[in-house]
Amino acid sequence: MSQQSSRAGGLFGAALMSPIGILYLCFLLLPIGFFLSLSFFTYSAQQMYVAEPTLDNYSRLIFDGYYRRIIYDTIRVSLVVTVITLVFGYALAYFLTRVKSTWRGIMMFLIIAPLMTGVIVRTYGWIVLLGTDGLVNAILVWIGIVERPISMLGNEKTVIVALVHIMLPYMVFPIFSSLVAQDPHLVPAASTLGAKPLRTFFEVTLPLSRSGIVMGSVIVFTMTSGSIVTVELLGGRDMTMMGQLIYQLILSTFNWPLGAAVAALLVLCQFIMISYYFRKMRRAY
Amino acid sequence: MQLALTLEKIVKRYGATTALGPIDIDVRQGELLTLLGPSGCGKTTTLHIIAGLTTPTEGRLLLNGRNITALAPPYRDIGLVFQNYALFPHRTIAENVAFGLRMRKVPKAEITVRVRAILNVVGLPNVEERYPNQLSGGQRQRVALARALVIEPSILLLDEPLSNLDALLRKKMRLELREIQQRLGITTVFVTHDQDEAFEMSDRVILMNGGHIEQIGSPEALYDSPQTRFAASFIGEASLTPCTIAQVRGDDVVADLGGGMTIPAKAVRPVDGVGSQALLMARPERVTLSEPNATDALPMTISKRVFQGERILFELTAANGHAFQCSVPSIEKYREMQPGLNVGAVLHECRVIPGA
Amino acid sequence: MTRFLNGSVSRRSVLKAGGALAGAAALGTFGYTPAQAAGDLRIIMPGGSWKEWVEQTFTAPFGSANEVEILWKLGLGQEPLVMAQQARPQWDLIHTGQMRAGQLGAMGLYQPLSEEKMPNLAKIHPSFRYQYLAGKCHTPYGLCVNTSKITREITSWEDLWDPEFKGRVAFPAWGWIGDEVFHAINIAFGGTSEDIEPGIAKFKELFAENGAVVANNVEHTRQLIDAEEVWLVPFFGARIEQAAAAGTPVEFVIPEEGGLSWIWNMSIIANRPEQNVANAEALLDTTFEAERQIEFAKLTGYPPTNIDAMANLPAELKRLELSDSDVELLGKLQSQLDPMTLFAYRDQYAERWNKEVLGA
Repeated sequence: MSQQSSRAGGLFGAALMSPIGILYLCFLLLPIGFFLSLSFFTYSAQQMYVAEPTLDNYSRLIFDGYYRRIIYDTIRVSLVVTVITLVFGYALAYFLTRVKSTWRGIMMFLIIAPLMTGVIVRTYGWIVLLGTDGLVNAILVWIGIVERPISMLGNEKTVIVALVHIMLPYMVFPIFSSLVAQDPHLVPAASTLGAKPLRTFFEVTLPLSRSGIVMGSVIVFTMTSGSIVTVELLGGRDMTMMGQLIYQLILSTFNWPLGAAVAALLVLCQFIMISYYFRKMRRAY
Repeated sequence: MQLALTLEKIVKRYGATTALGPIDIDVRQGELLTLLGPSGCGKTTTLHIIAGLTTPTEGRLLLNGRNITALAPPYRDIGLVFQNYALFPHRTIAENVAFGLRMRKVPKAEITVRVRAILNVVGLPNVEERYPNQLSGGQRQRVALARALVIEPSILLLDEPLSNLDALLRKKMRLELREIQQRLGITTVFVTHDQDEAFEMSDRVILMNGGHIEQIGSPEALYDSPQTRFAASFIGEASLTPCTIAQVRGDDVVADLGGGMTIPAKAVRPVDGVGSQALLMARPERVTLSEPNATDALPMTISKRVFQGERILFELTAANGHAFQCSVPSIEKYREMQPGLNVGAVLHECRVIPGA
Repeated sequence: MTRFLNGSVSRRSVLKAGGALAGAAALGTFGYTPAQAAGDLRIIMPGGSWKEWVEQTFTAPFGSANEVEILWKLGLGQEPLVMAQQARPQWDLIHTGQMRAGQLGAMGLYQPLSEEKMPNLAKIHPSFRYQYLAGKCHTPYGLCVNTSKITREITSWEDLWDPEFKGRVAFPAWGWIGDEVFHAINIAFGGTSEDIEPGIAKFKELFAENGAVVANNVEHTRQLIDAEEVWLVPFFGARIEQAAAAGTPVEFVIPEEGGLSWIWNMSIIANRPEQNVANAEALLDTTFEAERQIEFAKLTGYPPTNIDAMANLPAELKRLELSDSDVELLGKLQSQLDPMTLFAYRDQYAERWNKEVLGA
């Protein structure tokens, strides 16, 4: 495509995008921007906030080890969940491209099906499975791996397992699309040139699915770092993530300035991750 | 004559359906052999079987005397150029071309030299650092060729490599491809559905249809002596008319078309004798027109006229209802002839295909 | 939006309006529509089954009888919206509990209840009548005991600390109702609204040493109870009854130090147009009627607050009857709380709970 026509396409695209752009600006960006700006206001018990500029909310979050720990945990858990989801999600997506189309339809449905129930219902499902009298414990005791039911709720590992389960579809589909979009002749081409299957995968298939990997990871990281319900219900008191803190500060403590500061830091973390990922995705070809 | 590749009784079945074969093909050292046929004739399946991308149900493949039937593609010594080139979009041209060499653990310095050399051979210097999407179709085609050639395979396979190019470029690339093939002396199997391509480039052509081989031979032999009705109708233009053999002398015969119309012809193989059924093939460019009652000329009427620029195509109808095509140069004498005109037609060098 | 920004409004009010907008956006709906003419009533409520029950028993009959259009804004934690709209309130009633009603009422956000406007108010039992809120029902709250796992008699909040039940006790999340339960029990342990040291020390022990689990909401608590994951947990009497009816071996105990009870009803938001206030008062008055309260109790399983209703419960609701001493026991701890102190220190208290109790 020539320079000129692509510029005209850009203008046309911008025209097409403008209604949704204005909608986003008015009903998403402006309210969010306004809300985040509250983080520079002073908290007041009576009026919730007064318009005296301050950095106290941020310094409280950054210099208090308790809050720093929550921020650190949020990033750490989100990264761990993203990486695990990526490994499983990639394997599943790759498998999907390999199975016959009838099976593929059934499998896709099975992957999407959990999305049809709410995250709360799925989280309760995990409680039922992992509870002291739950299925997993029953099996463990029956097999004899443990003598008596073990406590699997209220810890970080359980939260990570559940989050991976919840996030999996968001990883599978972008990767799946990036895999099916690949020229099917590339793998045979590499193979006739002397590349064995594993080599072909790492030299051709994997690098060409980078956009799917980046998309999936961005979605999963962003959603995980903002998750509330799953962490709350499965993490117990051992785990607090930024989403819960925001929820508590906004809806129960009514400390909006501090809540806004946590939200701003969360958005900042997500923004840093997203820009890092997208830098990785930028490509010369 | 040395054989580079032999296909022995190769059969490919999908469930109960036989897609290919059994076929036997010998590919001679250094020749360019074309698999020609309509889509679905089995030519691409044959090529994929040679490359190892498809496993034959039955039969053997011998490459330079070695049985490679069970070898996976990476272990075969074969270069394949895909119809859509299948260049790696995330790799530069140099990296694309170097791919096969890297897989063969060729030292880096040597890779650089060989990549540059082969890009010169295909006429594409100074594109090493570009990416495939920055090249034109023709350039990509050359890169794909370079990538397959640089590993110096025993045999080069080309899967309709010119079909994605525009008509002008395609003609130019035919000659260039043939020129490179002959310069390197590399044994090549070429798949196409385009007979012009096949004729211009090949040493030999294999005509395939419905999963089996119709005819093997030089382009001239295929054009001049089609052995089957399919070969006669697929290759070139031809008027095919059922006839009865009236006289036989060696391979010279006289074909009786009924209504008192008899035409001398050559049989492409021995006929079953006088009175047997056969097919008469008349090539349009071998028909000449004269006055309606000239000697040796058959009286016919022009029933259709198609102006093609450098040539004019007439459809002629004989009194017994048979129609023949006639292609003549676009000169004044013929341009004036219009449908309805009675002419005398002489059908030169007709062929008789017995039993068809 | 332009209406907020036009004319001579102070910077403060612009900020407040913006806060309301941001709040509305954050809560997922857009809260502002121009004030209507007489004939509507705008109610803020968390929603769920309670909203259906309230609608069925009170608002729908009231609306159709008086040709008042009822408009709802549903969602949790709406008090900030009321605070932000202080100068220009857009809603007439907010469904709330006595603690929050006392807090926001003291800030002038709610209008005091008056017997003059609402004659039925006189019939509400004094234990369930506050300045800004009077109950249409109340929700007795105490300990839920699993009787098959716990054989000894449970009498006190102290039983939560019994090492026998280690890992099998739970406590409600702070942001749900845990804060109020904490403050009430803090009083039982000798603290006050200004001094939460006794409570913090005790609960640190409960979580760190007795392995208490956090119960996040009604459904989560029910799950913990039904799965017998937890044997002893503070919970609502009516919910415990539901669990028992569903087959879980549990019973409701009002601890000897005093239980709790939430007075759920609507408070009247101050500074609304006269007609809306009149509508609000007329609707509220119906929530104080004995017959309607009995209807509501049939739906919810929560006891009425109207003295006549309490004394004349139909046979199927006899189980809800509370003795005078029970009623007194339920109000004992909460009545000692100072809503304004708790409101003023809510940020520090929440942080101490997070850090010192949960983070221990």
